[in-house]
Amino acid sequence: MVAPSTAVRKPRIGSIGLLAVRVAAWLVLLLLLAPLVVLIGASFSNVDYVSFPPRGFSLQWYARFFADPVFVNSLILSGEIALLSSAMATVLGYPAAYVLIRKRFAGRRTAWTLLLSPLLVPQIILGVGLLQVFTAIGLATTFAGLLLAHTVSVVPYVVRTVGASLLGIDASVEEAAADLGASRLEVLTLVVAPMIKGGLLAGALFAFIMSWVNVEISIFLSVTGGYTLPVVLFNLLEYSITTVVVAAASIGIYVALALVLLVDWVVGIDSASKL
Amino acid sequence: MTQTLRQIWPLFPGLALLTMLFALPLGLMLPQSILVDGELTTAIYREVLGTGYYWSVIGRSFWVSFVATATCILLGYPLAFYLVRVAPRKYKRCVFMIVIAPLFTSAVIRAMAWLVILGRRGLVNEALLAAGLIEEPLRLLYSQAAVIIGLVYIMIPFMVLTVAAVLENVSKTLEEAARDLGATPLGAFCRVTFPLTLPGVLAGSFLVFALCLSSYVTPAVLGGGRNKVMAMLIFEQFMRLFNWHLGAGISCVMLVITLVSIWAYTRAIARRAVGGEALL
Repeated sequence: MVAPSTAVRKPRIGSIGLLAVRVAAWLVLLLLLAPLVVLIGASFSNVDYVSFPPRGFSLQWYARFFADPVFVNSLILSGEIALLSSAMATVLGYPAAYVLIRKRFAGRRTAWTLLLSPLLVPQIILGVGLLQVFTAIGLATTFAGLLLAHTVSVVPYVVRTVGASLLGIDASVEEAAADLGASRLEVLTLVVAPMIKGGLLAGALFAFIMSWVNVEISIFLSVTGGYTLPVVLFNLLEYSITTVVVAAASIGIYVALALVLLVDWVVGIDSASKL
Repeated sequence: MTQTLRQIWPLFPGLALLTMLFALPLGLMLPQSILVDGELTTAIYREVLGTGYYWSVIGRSFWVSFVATATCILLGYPLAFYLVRVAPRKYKRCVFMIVIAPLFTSAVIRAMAWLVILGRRGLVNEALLAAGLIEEPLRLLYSQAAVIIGLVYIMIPFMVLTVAAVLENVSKTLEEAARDLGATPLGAFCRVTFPLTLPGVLAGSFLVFALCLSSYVTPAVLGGGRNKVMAMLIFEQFMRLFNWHLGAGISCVMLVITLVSIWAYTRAIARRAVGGEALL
């Protein structure tokens, strides 16, 4: 008979503790996912009051959504604003990030803080402030006003993402290009941009997404009677929630899931953790 | 001077936009709150800070944000730990997707989901009725609890990602060393790993607290008129009552609180980083 060896390797983390972590983590993951699943489930109900589990099955509320010009126009407006504001944020944010990372000058820290600050201040206050400024200069209720507001609020995502990827590339390439006679603009567009393609794409994508989901700034800025999709949904919730509203929200979730897959495909989903 | 200007001009378009449409609109809040009918006065602040009603709203905002933040720590930490230390490589991407997906969904939609879950004919009530535990649907919505649940749901991803980022940089070997020196698994975690991730927990808490305190949509959808928070007060003053002075005063109070919280967040996350770079 041999006594059981006492030299067995200890597990790194206690197996009970490990099990507890697993269970807790999956419960929280369930909590994150369940509300989205419930909303999608409720959208297939065939009664107009909201219920879960859904009563029966129908696609009629999706048909209603696409037949209602208020919804369709808001969907188009949201898409246009997200596309244009992310493009503008990239055009403005990339050169700014480049200068902030590569050059040393007085006021650099202040410029950094200013460019990243829209992430940090309450959106509702920025929204109300922008409404006041736009009212004064005649941009309230215009497409341009809404577009500029979204651009301001998503520039930080571009600056941060592009800044991080600029830190990862060697500045000597740019110096060589400049020595060979490339102008500043040529360095930015022909030399640096191809090297940080991934970062630029990620920044633009994040900007697009953050514009697409925005409510708290858009809520103050209609475009001559029209609103973005999240604001239309918010305004409808003030009265009552019906299944067509749930179907509209479900469409928002489908878009979100598509964006998750797109981000994962283009830059890897874990890069979104720096949002 | 001109040398520098030639170097940094690509910064200017972005900076100009942010100055005019970020610094200016926010900067206008302070003068609006202290200049009433052309006179310099602290009347607005005396009104905001001296009226029981406003205090109760500010107090509720704090309480709701505090409870939501604490709950986020409890729920977010295990998930962050799982994501970084426990999850098999092949699951990691899937876990990331589940954490990120809600962030890509509008806050309105995420609040609406809780209307469906907690509503009269919602998931919870239907389940309780079917189980025979209640006779009539419970009134779960338009309560402080509903606001807290909605906020927690919105904020969990921020907590998870912040804690996970710090945990990534805590070497596993430290915990192994503690184990080899005789610590129990729980002891090694409590006395080695957890203290090292505390900056992440703190940073996540300040971030979540600031975001909770300034959120408008979730409390407006789930709280109803009787559970007003600061953001709803600001909206109401500006858009319904047209009392811009008072709205601006409450905005300044909220700005100060969130900026202090954000400052603490940047301090916690990177002691050595300089200025805005802490946010990279």
